[in-house]
Amino acid sequence: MDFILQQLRKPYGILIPWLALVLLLAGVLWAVRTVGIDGAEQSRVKLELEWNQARQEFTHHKEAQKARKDLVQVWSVLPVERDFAPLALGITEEAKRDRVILPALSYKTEPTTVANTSKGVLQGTMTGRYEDLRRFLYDVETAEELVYIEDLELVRPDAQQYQTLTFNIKIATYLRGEPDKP
Amino acid sequence: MAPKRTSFRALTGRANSVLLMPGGARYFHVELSSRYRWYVAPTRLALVALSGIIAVAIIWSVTQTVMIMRDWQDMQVRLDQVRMQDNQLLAHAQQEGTDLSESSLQKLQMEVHLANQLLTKRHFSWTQFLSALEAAIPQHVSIKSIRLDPGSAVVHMTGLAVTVEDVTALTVTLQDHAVFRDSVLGQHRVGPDGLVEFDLTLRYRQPGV
Repeated sequence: MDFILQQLRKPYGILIPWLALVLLLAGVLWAVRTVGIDGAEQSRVKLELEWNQARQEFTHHKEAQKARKDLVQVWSVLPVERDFAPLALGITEEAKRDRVILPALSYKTEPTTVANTSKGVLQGTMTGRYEDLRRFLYDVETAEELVYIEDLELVRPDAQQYQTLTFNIKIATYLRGEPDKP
Repeated sequence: MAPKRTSFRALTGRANSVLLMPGGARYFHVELSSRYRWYVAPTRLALVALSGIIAVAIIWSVTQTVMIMRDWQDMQVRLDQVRMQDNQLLAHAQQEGTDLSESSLQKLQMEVHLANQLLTKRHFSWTQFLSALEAAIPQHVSIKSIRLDPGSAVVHMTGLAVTVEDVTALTVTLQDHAVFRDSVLGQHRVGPDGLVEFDLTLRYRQPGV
């Protein structure tokens, strides 16, 4: 205390209170900037990240809900596994009606990446007049069942019979598994 | 002389008893050096100005802090709203029997991919493709084999033409066509029967896609 009083009595003593005030205010400024602005800014940035994440999650959930509804519609049109053989027979019948010969059709199911869903493939050759083949292809493409022609390949026409053409055809669909099946 | 000295000592002693505290400290101290220092006044002025500037900076910083805190509060409200909406959505989905759990969402991507693949292939029309091909192939040209890869939409075909000019005409037609493009003639050779065999690759663009 004595030291301070002695210093205050010095010619420059009058500056000491002002210097102390400047130091005090600088300290307060430092505290306000460090604790106040920086702290608040960090909290705000953290909250902004959380907000963006929450928004993305909400959008993701909304899209997922819509996708789930659309998928339910698509899956409901797919034939179940036990309908695969009748479907193949139906296609053969359709070919007969269109005067297309399907001498042999192989049936095959392949697993897919989606659980409880498999891919059914019918493969064989079809022979007939071009007009009849086209009609048959159109009937398959527009069938109620969700089948599609995966591959079609015209093989060399028979030199003896210019009127008929032969195609290798691959018809595919996806099959729903039966949940009740053990 | 002796009484005079005695009275001076007594006076000095009394003065000392007044000026000095019991511990020996002085009540008053007189600085006899000059009090004038040229730098004191400007320095004091500078310190006053500096104090003012720092005070303004403090007020500005506090204002900034308050503004950031307000932003933070607004954002907190928005975050709460989004979370509430998300929770409502999840609850609604659960009521509908829709599973939106994390494991289900991981499977969903594959299911969507499969469904899209199915719909794309279903949308592809071979009848349209054959019609377009029929219209594009000129006279004197017949197709022996044809294969379309629906994934890449590349068509490989082999055929027969009466003359090389017919093959050229076919290639030119397919190069400048509404649905076929990038036709590339792989090879051609004249067969023993005088007909020109050719091998052609082109791309097919389905109308309306």
